[in-house]
Amino acid sequence: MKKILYFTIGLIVIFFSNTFLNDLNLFIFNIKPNLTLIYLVYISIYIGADKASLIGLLLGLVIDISVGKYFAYYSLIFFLIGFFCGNLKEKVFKENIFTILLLILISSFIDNLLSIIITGFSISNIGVYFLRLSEGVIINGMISALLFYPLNMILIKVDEQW
Amino acid sequence: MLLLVMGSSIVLRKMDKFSLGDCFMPNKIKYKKKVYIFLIILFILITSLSLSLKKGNDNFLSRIGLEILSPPNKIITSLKNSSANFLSSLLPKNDKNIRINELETEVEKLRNQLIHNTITESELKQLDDLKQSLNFIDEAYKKNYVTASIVGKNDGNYYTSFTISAGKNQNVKKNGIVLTGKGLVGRIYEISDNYSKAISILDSKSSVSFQVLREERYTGIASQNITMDYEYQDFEGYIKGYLFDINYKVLPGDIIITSGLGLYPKGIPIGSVDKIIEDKNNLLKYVKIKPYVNLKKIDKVMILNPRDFN
Repeated sequence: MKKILYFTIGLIVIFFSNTFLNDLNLFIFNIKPNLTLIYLVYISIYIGADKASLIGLLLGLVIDISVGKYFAYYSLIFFLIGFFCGNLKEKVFKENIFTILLLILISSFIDNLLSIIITGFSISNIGVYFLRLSEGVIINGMISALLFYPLNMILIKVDEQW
Repeated sequence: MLLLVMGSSIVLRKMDKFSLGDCFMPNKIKYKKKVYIFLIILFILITSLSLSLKKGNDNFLSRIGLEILSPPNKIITSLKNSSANFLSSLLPKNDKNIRINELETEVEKLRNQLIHNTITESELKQLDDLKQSLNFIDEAYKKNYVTASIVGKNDGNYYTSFTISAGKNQNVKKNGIVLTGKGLVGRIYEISDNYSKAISILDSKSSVSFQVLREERYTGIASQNITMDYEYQDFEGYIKGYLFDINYKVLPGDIIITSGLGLYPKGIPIGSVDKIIEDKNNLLKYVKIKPYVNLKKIDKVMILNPRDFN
């Protein structure tokens, strides 16, 4: 039941990202945060590797199919992120903001790096790529820091009651 | 590959912990089973991604999925648009903003007129002669378009792909040209019965043959795949292009339109020249083009079907 709930919330996050988030000019950088990735990292350390990798795979598949340019791109990233972060379920202190931030920063780094590699990497523009990568990582970090307390509260409640 | 190596090493390290005897214990067998499932899924995903990168995204699962997942996006987008319209109607009208909008519309209209006038009658006659050999657009083809809305945008930060509310049933074809009143947006690359996906001109897979409106012979290729070794430039939100001849006297502000060779018909506005970068070592002249279409703010598009080269 919990799996379905987390997946449904993930779907809402994806639809929100595909529609509303495109029109918001709230961010100092010219890019939008990857809310699905942030959400997946948060839930992964609560539900463990098995469920997190499955939910990651399905959410990734939804993005790939609904707006994705490449099939299996997000499925692969989210499957691995769900697996790695989920494996840390018993090993990290979930209530610590820095733990979550570190995980989100690493996941965002991998996501942005893969995106740059796939869209055509050239060594001559390494400075530009580095800037893009930093922007992506920083914006995701900022948003996840803002979402830390409300999301953590919801996840603890769901974890206790369901 | 890095992810594959990382994933495999963790899984294999975990597998190392088990002796052969452990495999006969039910919980360990279960664990090993999980490891195999993980590796199989990983293999399938990497293979699918590699195939998608090589051959495109047009597969059965994608088409079915697009049909199922696009309606919620469409509903949310239309709700968002109607609520935004409602809210803006409640807000007091700002004279400056109205004037800016009016001027923008006028500029757009004048630009289109300029393009139309520049492609003169004699030129059209010339094009007509060449039509057979070079497959230039004809009048009947021009009228063959479909209008649709954008129901979902992009899979990343750079707004390079869109989901459009028109598909095979609306007579949209693969490689159809997507444009707005302001200019070229991109082309259709994946299609289902009622929806399709388009990649924008800012995408690395997209390349357009262009010409400078002021001087027809100044032609070149615009593509995000061009590698420049000469100067570091951030092309975020801009189109990269190179001219066929280093002696072409292109100036900042020059209007760039499609030249008519290849996929895109002649005369579609692409953008204006923002910067010219000369690479004397390689005898090349690059242009940084600012697209007319704001890819972050498009809701309605027009789709022209691709030309039949046969």
